[in-house]
Amino acid sequence: MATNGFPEKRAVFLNVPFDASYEPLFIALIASIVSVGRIPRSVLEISESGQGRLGRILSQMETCLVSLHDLSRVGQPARFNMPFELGLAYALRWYQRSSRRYLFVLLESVPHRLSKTLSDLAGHDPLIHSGKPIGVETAVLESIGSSYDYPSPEDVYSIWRRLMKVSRTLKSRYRTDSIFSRRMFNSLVAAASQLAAGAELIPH
Amino acid sequence: MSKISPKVHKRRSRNSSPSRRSTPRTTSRQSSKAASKPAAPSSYRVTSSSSHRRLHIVSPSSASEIRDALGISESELKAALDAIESSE
Repeated sequence: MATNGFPEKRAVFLNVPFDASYEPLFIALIASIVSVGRIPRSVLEISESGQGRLGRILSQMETCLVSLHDLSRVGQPARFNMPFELGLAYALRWYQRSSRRYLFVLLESVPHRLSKTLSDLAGHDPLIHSGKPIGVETAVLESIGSSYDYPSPEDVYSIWRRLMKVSRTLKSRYRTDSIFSRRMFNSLVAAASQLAAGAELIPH
Repeated sequence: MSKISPKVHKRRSRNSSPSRRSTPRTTSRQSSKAASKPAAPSSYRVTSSSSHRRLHIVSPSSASEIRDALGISESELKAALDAIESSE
């Protein structure tokens, strides 16, 4: 994975808000990305502190060829990380002229709002998830599902329901009330891959 | 790229049936427009107006490949498997 500076075509960088109300949607992202056989990547894998964090984030994005950016958090307090990292993704796409050109997918919960909150992105229409896990799953299937036999929204929804239960158990085991840590993220992806393989959505 | 899902294959076969087609496949204008369009790289598809809805077509990763890519530890995997078992 991402060795020798080469991007992994199946890796998907997640640029989303890390708050409690977003947890069901984040789990829906993990469930759907893993169910189509792609690899979710997140800044959660990167140390919170220390100089060079931005550089490490950019390096991680470069190991992916696709990123998902959820711009649905527009209230207070202002959240600048998502639009900032979207800017990084846009720059990656702009400066990559090879056949492996970077792609980014925009997510929003409210139709037509992005044209007001980020008018510079005119022409890039977001996929609307309406703040619902099934909306996120449908958006992922529509945007990064391949021509292979990718799963139905019902298949992914079933994985999501199991993964929600798993997340509660993991929180208890790790004695935390949030899924937004490296250890939780890794265990959730491990669980999702196991569930998806068990449902014969991806190979073991 | 070599594999085409049965559903897609079936749909293509149905569309290609002459008995179901009431109009010409393409007009001459459409043909010339398509011919002038540069061919997309075989590894992905891209729409003109947005960076999404076009995707690198790749074979799915296996569960073990996904775990290896993230460097998931044995303890994290065990925690995941235990949590799956207890959630059943």
